[in-house]
Amino acid sequence: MAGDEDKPMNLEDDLLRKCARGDSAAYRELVERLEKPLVNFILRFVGERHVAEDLFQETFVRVVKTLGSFRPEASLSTWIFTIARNLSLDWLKAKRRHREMALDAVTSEEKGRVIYFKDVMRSSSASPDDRAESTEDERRVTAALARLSPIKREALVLRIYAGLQYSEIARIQGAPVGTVKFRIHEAVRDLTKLMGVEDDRNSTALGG
Amino acid sequence: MTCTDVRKLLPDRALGDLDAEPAAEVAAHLKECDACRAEDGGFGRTLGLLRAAPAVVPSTERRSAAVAAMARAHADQSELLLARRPRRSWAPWATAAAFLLAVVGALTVRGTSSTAFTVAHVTGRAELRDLETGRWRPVTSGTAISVGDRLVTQRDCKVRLVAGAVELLMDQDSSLEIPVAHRVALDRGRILAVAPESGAETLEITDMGNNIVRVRGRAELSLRDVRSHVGGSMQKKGAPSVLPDPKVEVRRSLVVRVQTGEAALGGARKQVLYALAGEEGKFQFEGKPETAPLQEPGFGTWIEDP
Repeated sequence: MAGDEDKPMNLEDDLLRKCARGDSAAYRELVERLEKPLVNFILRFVGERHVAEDLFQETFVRVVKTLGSFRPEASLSTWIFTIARNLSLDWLKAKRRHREMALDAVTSEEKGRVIYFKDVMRSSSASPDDRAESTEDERRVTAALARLSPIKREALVLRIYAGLQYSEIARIQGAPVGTVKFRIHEAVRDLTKLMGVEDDRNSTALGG
Repeated sequence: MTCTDVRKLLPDRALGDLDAEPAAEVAAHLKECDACRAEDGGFGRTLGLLRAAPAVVPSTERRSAAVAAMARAHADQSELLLARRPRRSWAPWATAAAFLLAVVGALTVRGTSSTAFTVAHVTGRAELRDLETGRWRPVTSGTAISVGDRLVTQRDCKVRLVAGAVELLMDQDSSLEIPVAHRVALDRGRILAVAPESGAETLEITDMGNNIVRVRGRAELSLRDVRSHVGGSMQKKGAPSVLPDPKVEVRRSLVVRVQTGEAALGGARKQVLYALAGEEGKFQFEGKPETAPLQEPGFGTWIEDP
């Protein structure tokens, strides 16, 4: 998260050095330091709790395996978020390939027509358990986020849930800061439209 | 400000990214303009809903599983050195032993103290940071070095360490830590590692880049700056396709010079290469090991028995 960069570099160096030596206490410290922003970023990016936790774990395994390729010019958190982002994108691509992503199907089949929120929710890929645990507002957010393009969703989620700076997101996405800002603005506009559709329907239903 | 100007800035306003001056201008416009105010309200509600979504935290079990998986990944990498070893008939036994050692090492909790080396001889001033107390104390002959301890030699100091048939000579201005028995993490300087050419006893030396060297025989290891030319990738779509100039990047990594026996070099990306007697091995920037005949004649001219 953004706060991670505020820590003195020598602390980060020390932690990395210990991790490179297989120090379990250092692994735990690294996980605890980043777990909250990381798992929330992955969850909002992929939309499924159990997948998010799997990818969260796999991210840290990749960190150990690729520690040698870490370049000190990037911050530790930016590097780890990049790993998480790549794993999440791979998972989303695999899912799309297997035609499991119901929301994608809705989007392509219903192109040009108004998509009602309840329809989106019905086709949401969240498991029954996941749905039972979440509130109505949270379900709205999850469903609307799932309908954003991955690149916009990623930028927005890194900003809102991981608390990263625009410059860090730019590094992760490999894009200029201006492009990242544009993507986030567009994501906010798109989400407002997506969630506004349901607001209108609700108010119509209540009024009529 | 016109409505068009203001609407461009509304997402920034909702995200809290507007500077004071434009924020004041936008606020003044919103007081007068119903349409822009409605749009601003929509963005505000959207951001409110996003931020209100409760943050999740991984379960304790998941956190522990992640840490255990990291330890397994590290142990797998350590095991690789022997697992791919093609030349010795006792390789399967050595693999099993190394795996056990690696797993035990990975699961070693800091704070469990066991003697890894004993100081056989010391010239000059060397200091040991004790894991248990965190304090530095001078090293003398007979001092026990435990797992987790750090040892630093000052100028004009050399220290000889022994552990069974394994010996280790530290040069001046060197620093190392003992993460697990029979493994040394070199932070600075130069060492001479001596281990039997056959048998179960070996000595492993690691650097910060996750590179690892396993010595069977007699080899000198030092940390040196390895330079690499790193090329860039094409920039923007549509812009003239000009490749950025390659950058020279420098990384400190292990260089091993083998006098007798051999040294197995395990790279950060699972590549393994053997440097034999009369050869030196090093790791390129991306962790790939490479070997070449010894560049400088005369092995270990700095070595004198302390």
